[in-house]
Amino acid sequence: MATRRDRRRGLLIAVEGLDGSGKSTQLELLHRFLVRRGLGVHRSAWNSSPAVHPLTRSLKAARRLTPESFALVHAADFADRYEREIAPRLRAGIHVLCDRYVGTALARDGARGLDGAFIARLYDFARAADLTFYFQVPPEVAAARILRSRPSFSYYEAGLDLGLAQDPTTSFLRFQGRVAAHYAVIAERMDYVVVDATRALRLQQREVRRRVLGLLAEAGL
Amino acid sequence: MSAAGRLFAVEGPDGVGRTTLVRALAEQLAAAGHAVTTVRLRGSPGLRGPLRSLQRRADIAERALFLLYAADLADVYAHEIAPALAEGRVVLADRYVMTPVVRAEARGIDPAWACDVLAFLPAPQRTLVLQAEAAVRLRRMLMRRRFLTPRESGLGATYRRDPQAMLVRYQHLMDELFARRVDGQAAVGLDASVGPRDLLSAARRALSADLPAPPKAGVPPGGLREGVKA
Repeated sequence: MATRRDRRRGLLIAVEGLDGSGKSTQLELLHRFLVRRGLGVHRSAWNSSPAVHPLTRSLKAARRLTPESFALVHAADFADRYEREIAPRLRAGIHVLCDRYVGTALARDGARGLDGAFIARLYDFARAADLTFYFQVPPEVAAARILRSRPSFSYYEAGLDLGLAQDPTTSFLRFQGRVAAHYAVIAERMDYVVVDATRALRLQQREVRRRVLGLLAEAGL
Repeated sequence: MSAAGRLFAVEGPDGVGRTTLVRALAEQLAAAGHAVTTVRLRGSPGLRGPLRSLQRRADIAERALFLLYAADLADVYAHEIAPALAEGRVVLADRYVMTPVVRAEARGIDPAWACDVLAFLPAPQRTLVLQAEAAVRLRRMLMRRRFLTPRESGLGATYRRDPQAMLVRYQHLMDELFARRVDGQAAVGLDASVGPRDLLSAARRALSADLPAPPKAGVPPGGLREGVKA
């Protein structure tokens, strides 16, 4: 938690949840809200390092990633963004909103069978977020939302690399069920604010803003 | 134990003659009847090209570059090393975990962290650490290639204006960090300022105790298998 001493340090706020949980929409609404209040805010999305992401995309297309190499290329993308995009801004007092943070790696790579301590070690150079929202949604609801916006699941999103099922939808539900189970444990352990993501967008956003305003007040901002 | 494969790593800084040694060693071991597979760092099909171009760029975090090398090793291990070991082959790795860790350390990353990240990779039976002082290696690099690369000159490790001076300083540092890891047991130092033939016989001597008995002389059953070429 930020204290008055950190007044000039930016706050780090993260959103977590399954694909299709609506977390990016909520983060975008929060971003606009904070900008309107005149705050210096920057948004950083998972898997978006200009140096690393093109490589991740081609590796995914080749479908050759093992659970270890999957974890490592995502950690590389994060490391690049953390050291060159996130940390410099936090030091300069700019608030950073992260669309997915360390929890994503813990949940996804954990669901791929990697040891939790190993995943945590990969990311232990990064500081913990001041506030993390977990948008909780049943995998069935997430699946329906994704299929409304595009024709099919991506290979790794459906966990097809794990051979849980032949059919992409069945595989998606099983894999994302595992991810959700990991998230539930992580959310509890790391004090995430759990938001019921099946509720109306407006109600979710109200809760998000209330929590963020509380954090800003606490930090004397 | 002859059913289980053997993994040997050859490590060392730029221009020390790793690749030449690995090639010659592989040929000799194959001729002696061992089934040999050679693999290399930056050897995975999906990461080889991108890593080579990222190496030349300054706009990537050093930690990210290290993690991509780790991903490359994970790929090479899963798709080449592990299957070859399962077949009982002798695997020669042209750089394995030591070089990425030393490079990361030279760029200010905690080496304990780097080692933990790579801990999922099994340790080799033996690591040969080739050592030759920076001046010798610089000469070799300049004889072999038209241009030096920014990273050989310590991009990310030092920020001097004169690339040549930078390179020497950085490569001295590499010498020291590799030397620190030579213990004469798991990691054996080999003087690589000698000619390639002497180095090859020194490497053979260093590995002789670890090799399984060759099945029989002549053409090996599995033969010499080369890893993916750059």
